[in-house]
Amino acid sequence: MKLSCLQENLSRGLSIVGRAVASRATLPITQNVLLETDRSMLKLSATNLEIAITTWIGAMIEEEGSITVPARLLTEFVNTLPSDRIDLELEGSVGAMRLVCGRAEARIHGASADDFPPIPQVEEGVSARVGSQELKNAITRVAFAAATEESRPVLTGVEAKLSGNRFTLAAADGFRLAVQHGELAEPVQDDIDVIVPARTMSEVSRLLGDQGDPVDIMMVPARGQVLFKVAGVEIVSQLLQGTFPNYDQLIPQSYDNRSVFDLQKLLRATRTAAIFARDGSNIIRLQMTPGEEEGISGKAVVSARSEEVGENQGEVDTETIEGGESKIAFNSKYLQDVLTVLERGQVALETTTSSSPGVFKPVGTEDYVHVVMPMFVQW
Amino acid sequence: MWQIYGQDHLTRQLDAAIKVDRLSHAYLLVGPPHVGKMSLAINMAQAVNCLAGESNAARQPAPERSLDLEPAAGLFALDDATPGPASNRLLENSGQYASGPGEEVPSQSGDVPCGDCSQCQRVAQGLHSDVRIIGVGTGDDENVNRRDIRIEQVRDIESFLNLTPYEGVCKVVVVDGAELMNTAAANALLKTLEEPPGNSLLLLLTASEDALLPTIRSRCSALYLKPAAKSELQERLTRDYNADPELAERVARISRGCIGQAVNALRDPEALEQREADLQRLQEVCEGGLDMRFDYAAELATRFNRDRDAAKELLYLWLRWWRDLLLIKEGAEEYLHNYDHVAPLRLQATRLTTGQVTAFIKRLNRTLEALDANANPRLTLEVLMLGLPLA
Amino acid sequence: MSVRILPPELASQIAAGEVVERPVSVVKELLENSLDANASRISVEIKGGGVESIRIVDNGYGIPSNEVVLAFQRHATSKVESRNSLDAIATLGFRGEALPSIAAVSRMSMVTRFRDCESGFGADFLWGGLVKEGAQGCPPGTVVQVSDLFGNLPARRRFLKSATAETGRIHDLLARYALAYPEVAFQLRVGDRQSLSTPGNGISADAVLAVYGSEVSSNLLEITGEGPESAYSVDGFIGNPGLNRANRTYMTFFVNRRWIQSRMLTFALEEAYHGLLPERRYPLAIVNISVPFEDVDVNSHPAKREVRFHQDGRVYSALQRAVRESLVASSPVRAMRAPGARSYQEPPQSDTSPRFFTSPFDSRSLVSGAAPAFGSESREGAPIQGSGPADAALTPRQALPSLRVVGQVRLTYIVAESPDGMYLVDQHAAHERVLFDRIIRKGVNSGSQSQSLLAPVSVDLSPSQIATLTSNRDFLVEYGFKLEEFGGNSYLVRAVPSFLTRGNPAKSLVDILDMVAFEGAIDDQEQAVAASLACHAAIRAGQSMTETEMRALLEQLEVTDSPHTCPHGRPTVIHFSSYHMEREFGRR
Repeated sequence: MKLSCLQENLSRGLSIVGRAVASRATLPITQNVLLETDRSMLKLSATNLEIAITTWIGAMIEEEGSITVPARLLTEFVNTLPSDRIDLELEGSVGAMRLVCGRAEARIHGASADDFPPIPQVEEGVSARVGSQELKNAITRVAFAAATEESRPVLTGVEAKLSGNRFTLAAADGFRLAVQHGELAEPVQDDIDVIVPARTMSEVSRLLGDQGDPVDIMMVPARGQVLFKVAGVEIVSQLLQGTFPNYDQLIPQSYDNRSVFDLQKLLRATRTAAIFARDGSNIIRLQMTPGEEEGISGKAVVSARSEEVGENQGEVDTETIEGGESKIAFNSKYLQDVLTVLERGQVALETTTSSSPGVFKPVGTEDYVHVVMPMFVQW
Repeated sequence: MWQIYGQDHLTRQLDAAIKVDRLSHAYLLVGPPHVGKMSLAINMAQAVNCLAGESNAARQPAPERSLDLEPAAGLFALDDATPGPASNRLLENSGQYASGPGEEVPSQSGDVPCGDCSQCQRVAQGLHSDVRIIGVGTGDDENVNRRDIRIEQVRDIESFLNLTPYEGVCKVVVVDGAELMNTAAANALLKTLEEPPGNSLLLLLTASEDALLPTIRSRCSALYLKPAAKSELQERLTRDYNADPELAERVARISRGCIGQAVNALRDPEALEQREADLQRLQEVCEGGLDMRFDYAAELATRFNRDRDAAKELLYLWLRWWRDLLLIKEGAEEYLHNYDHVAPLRLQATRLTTGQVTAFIKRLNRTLEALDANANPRLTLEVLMLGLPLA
Repeated sequence: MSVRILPPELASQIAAGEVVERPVSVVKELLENSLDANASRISVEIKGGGVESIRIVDNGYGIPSNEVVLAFQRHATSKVESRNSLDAIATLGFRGEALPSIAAVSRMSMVTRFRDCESGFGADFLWGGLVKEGAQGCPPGTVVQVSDLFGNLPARRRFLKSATAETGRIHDLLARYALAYPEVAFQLRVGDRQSLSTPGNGISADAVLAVYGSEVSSNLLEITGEGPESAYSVDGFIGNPGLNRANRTYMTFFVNRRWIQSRMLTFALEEAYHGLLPERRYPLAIVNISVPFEDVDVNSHPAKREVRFHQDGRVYSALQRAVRESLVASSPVRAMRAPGARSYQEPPQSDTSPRFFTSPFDSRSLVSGAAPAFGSESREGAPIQGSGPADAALTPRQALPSLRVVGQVRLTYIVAESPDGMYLVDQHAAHERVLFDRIIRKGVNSGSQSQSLLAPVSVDLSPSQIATLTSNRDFLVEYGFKLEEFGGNSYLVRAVPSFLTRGNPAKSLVDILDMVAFEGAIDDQEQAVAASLACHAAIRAGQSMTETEMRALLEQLEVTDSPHTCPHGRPTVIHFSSYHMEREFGRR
């Protein structure tokens, strides 16, 4: 292998695939990055056996070939180099790579590409296309609700369902559930339903960035892998084995009280209360009261108290309110999480009793539902 | 072809299970050290991922590496009657390659593990991403001295198993020395054994089945590996390892039918000599007076300072010797480790009470612990020697 | 109003009260009878806390047919006793004395077959009166059935506690006898659930294992000791100091293998542990003291629970010596495990030198088999006795100084400093203390705060877990669990305590039940539940913590009531004073 490329391209490529370099040495070679010539490009790949990322950078190829070298060493070295041309060359048969950039030079010991775990190829199967930002938003609104512990493995994943021209992402830990529906740019041939590790989803979302191009998603469920392909980067993720719980029945179909808030106002009051909830049991109480007569807006009292610190309460006007008085208590983190990902606009909180689930929905769309289980407290 | 000898009773059983796709999710591989448990485990890991297995191949990806198969294999497969979309896959199926173009029947059980396909090779080289081996100290810094398999290691394999296979079709976890799992680890593993994720195979290796939790034992199918007959072993050593017949005889005798031990001894004849010398010295020390014992302690301490592991290995030799004495006292000679020294062992056993033997075994264990805890080696070993019953 | 003589039935009912106080007394009397009859297998079945029915089956040598009815007459004992008077003192009870008392307050039946007899004999009694008698076939041994206890004395029934509580007492009684008689296989069935079963193979360690489980039994030290005046000998098991309990019910004494209660012995044992246990923590012990029969007076209490020794002092010192010797022999281990713990628990007179820095290699510790890396120390003569002024100044209830976090070691300990030196904080123990205080206070002040689950989770429980659940349900609910029976051994978890939202709720419940069972202090159940919850929810050893988290934890620890120990009495903090550090580095 012999080639030349630009420092900034190599640096960028390495930082992309670097997300998939294994941090622990279960299989030591997974701490390496695979460099391979691919037609007129240099292909960079890394995998931690859960997620594999591949990207291509422009290069002048003189001689084809491949090698794997320690990712961290290479990345750190390349990052210190001036923005200039880098010449790359394999040395001898022992598997070392020589880099020359300006007056800097390095020789890095590597290992044969044959020893590297094969980067999964997903060439056929069900494929779909979805807008980058649409997918990114969906991931942001859903992935945080996945469980972070492995006691129930499927819950550490995000369920992705593709059907016709719709996609649905859902995640739940034991106490809350987030579901986002969206439109596919191109419909799928066959319905499909897989569980992708939430970590992968976050990586995908990160790599999507401000990307405008659509994302291609391909799945071969029999193979247990899913491929996301966008603008020169391919992410292949393993799937979680198991069945995702049927969550439809967990979403309440009716409510006794529906209060609509300006999201920012509610979020501000919540954050204030969270300071006081922090030292107690992390409980934030909401009490919704309709306006006393027609034309006077209703309000919600957001309060928290801690035996050690003290207590606080704030009022937020509701935009509209249906039904009578209502009260409910939430874990402060769950409440803040959902309000934070919704970002702006208006949010509706639907409640029935203080012991039944609270449902958050952004106003103006039916695509997102977030169910949070309440806390039982003494009022 | 199974790359394991003398265990036909097991390979037949496994072949039959593979043929009807009825392998258990978990097996317990039981047998004395070096009898071939790990080899069998590796073989099984190959078998479930081998491209020669029809059911495996059907689910196998179209690996780039399989493209460089002989075209004959593909052509042959086209003639095969296998209908449906799978035939497309079979084009690249190396199964036919493994069984050779001349054979009429399509690839069947008995052919896995083929040992030649990319999957088998990667497993054999320890590169396969879907095969994970844990044991005492794996996944740890080398300088951390562990004595058990910890819960963190079991948690790791749990999350490993929860994901779909990466390059193969079945995830395989091998627990080497399963009896060394501490209670927390064993209980954590129970959960996995109870609800194994799909496409997974757990292989627990142990030399002492009784030391495992009964709950673990009951959730695994047991495979008992037999030590090979001495003659059989001797023959293999001369045939497959080009051993000198005389050496082969000797090695076969002391290795008690365990192929691994025999091969190690063959590869390193000096080790064999060293063992003889060490045992000789051990017997002298047991017979000798305090002077000799203190000299020995000093010698051992020096060795310990130079090479901890070698010195500890020597103490393990002592431990095995005294274990043998205990076995003789209890009338269980068939389990002797140093069977080649049965005569001096018997003689020494007559001079000792069972209490003395067990007491000294305890001392040896305590000494090992103390050394691990960085006690002064010389003092520790002198104390040990003081506790050695006088002849 | 005239004075009337009480009718005889009433007199016997009242008298029975002295012996038969509650179901457990019935079991105790019958159990002792079985043991006297040399039974090697005794099984007890109770229903409704023993009030509904108690059934004891043994394989002892039975009672001859012609003596069965006699045995149910008051003070029938003396007649039996006169035949072999010397042996009778060595037996636990006075065979037969209790039978009429029990019969007087219950429906009672006995079927028994004497050792060498061909057939057995049965007799039924109702409120003390013989209803039926006659030959009856049965296996060798005795079966006694007591039903409807106190059915004729409703007033006494009202003094009984709940069935669960009475069951607990019976379990406790059997457990203690099982420990004293490892050669007898004991079984207790409560309803259709097996609650205790010992192998009866004569090995004490196995009996301990069956009764207390592996965690306790692996922390027990065996004691044996013959006094120089060897008439008094002591044997049994004591907990190492790490295994301590919140109350005194875990000290079990037998004299000549009869379970007794003795303030003197309790005191002797506590004294022997002096300085080794955290404040208000008590040792766990199962001790049998053998004394010549003539030196002990067992008749001072009708239920024979209290004994009087003729030579108190000798018994006292024999016990103390045996316990102390065994503790000293094992002390290097503890020194390593908690070198600084004592500097808080017994400040002025204690050995406060941090063992970490004493001579690391000492051949004595090798001989005793303890890990010598941290040095050994003898309890009697500490090398630098009480020399650290900073250490000595600390008293158990003294608040922690304000600590600055330096870092985390081994993902288990937080290193912190204050002007008076270095502190090592066990992150799990410290968090446990913080949570425990919070849980207890929440329980008292504001009632339950629980987080409901998205979907209820079902969990299968073992019979012993169900028993723990049943007897602690109120506390579990109070602290935030919402549970529902789901048929069979299954339960539904609908909500969990607000601080327990990490991990699998089903597994949390199981873990906590197991911990409570292990904790097991009967009159302290609420704290046991709180401690188990705290232990389960606390950060584990091996988890990395950010500096912010560590700082928050230390701040919370500082304001707890007793920041120096976790709820189980283990130390949370070890202090290395500036003085010692300087000394050890030769700066002083």
